[in-house]
Amino acid sequence: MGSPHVNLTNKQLLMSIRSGDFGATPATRRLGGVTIYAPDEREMTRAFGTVVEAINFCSKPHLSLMRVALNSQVRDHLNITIDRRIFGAILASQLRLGIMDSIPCAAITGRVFRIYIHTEQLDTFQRHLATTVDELRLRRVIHVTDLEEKLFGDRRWGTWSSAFHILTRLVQIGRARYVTENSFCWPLEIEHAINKHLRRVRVVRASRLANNQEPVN
Amino acid sequence: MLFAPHGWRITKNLSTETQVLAVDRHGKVVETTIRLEQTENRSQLAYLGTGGAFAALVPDTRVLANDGKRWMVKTLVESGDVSSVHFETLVRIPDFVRPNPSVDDLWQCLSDASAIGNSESLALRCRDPVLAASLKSAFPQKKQVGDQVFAIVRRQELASALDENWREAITNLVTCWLKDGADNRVEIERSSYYLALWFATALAASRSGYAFQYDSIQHSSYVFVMVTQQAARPLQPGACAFYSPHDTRVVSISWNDPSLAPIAAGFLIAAD
Repeated sequence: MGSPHVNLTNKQLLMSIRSGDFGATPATRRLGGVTIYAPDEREMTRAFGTVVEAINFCSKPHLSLMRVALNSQVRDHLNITIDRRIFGAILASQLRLGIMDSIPCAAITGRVFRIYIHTEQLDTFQRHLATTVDELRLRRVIHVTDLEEKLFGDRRWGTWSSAFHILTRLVQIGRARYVTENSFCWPLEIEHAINKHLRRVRVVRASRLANNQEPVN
Repeated sequence: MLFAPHGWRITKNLSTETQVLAVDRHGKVVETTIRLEQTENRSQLAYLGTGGAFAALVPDTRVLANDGKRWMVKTLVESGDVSSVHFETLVRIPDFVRPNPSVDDLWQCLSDASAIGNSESLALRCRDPVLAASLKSAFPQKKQVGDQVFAIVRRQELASALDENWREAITNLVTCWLKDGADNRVEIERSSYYLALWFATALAASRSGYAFQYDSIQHSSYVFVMVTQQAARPLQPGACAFYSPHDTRVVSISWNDPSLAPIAAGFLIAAD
C-alpha cells in the first residue's frame, strides 16, 4: 500500500490528486475543479484511458446505476481501488462528453438522488419509462419486483435497481407516487382533476359554438 | 432561446425573419433582424453556463468572450476548463424592452415537464410540498395528494396571470413548483432552462439579483437559481460546459452586420 492519495494499490495505475506525489514536473490533467497528476504524460494517458474504458465497460450492460454501484463495478473489473475524487472527476469527464448522463430521481424522503446511464441505454430507459406509465395507469399500483419481471424478464444483477430507478424517476416528475418503499401508484386524483377541467372547458366551448350557430331571426 | 424585444423566445417557434436583440461593438443593446433557417441537419446539443446565463447550443456555435475572442462551444466543452474563459451576460434589461412572456412557449416548456396534462391544463409536482402548500398566491392552484403537492396550471389562468403581472406570475409559478426551502434555491432541470431565463429576467426586472449554479463544471442535471440581494454581475467566468447525449435539429442563424452579436440565452453569439 502506498500513500492514501496515490493508487499504488494498483501497480499499473499511477494517478494522484496531489502534485507532490510524482516529483517536480508531473503530468497534469484538469477536470473541472480537480487536477489529476501522473508521473508523465504517457502514464496519464494510459491510466486515464484505463479508467474511462472500465467505466464504459461496466455501465454499458446495465440500464442504470448509482454512482456507488458503478464505482464498485469498476473496482471489481480493474481489481483496484480508485481514489474517490479521481473516480468522480473521470466519471464527470464522461458526463461532459455526453457518453454518460445523470438523471435526477426522488427518494421516498423527497430527497433527490442521481442515477447514471450510458448513452447507449438512454433510448431503452425512455422506452421503459413509457411502458411503466402504461402499467401504472392500468394496474394503479405496481411493485418493483413486478415491474422488474415485466421489463427485464429474468432477474439479473442490477435489474431490480433499474426497475426501482425507473419508478423513482417517475416520482420525480410526478407521474408516480410512493405507496411503500417498494411499491408505487399512479396519481389518479391528479389525473381526475386535470381531465375534469378539460371536460368543463369542452362543454363551455361546445355551448359557445352552439350559441354562435343559432340562426338569426 | 433568443432575446427578442418582448423577451426570451424559443428559436424554433420564431418566424424565418425576426427581430432580436444584439450587442454592438460598443456594448450597446440594439434591435436587429436575423434570418432563421431550419436545416435538415441534426447535431449533438451542448450546454454552456455561467452565473448569469445558461444556454443549449449546437457545438459549432461561436460565442463571444469578454476579451472579444470567439470560442466555438465544442472547444469550451472538450477543453474541460471553461472556467478560464469569462463571458459578458446581459443582466440589466434595456428600457426599450417590454418583456411579455409567450404563453405558447411557456406552455410548451411546462407541458414537457408536467406530471400529467392535456391541451388545457397540466399538473406539476412541487419540489417542496411544505413550502408549496404554505404559499398563499391564487396562481397557480395547488392540490395535495398524500404527501405530495401539485401545482395545477390552466392555460387560460396562465395567460391571465401573465397579462396581469408577468413578473409575479413567473415568480409565483417557479417558486411553487421548483423552490427547495431547505436549500433556499430554485431547482430547474436543465431541459426546462427556458423557465430559468424568464425567472432570472423577472428577478432582474424587480431589482433583485440572481445567480445560476450547477452540479459541477463538467456536467449538470440542473440549473439552480439563487435569489441574491445584489444584481448579477455582467462579467462571469464559465461555470459549466458539457454535451448532452441528445441531438437536435440545427437552426442556422444569419444576420447582415457581423459586428453585432445576437443574445442567445444570455450569451453573445458571434458570426462565423
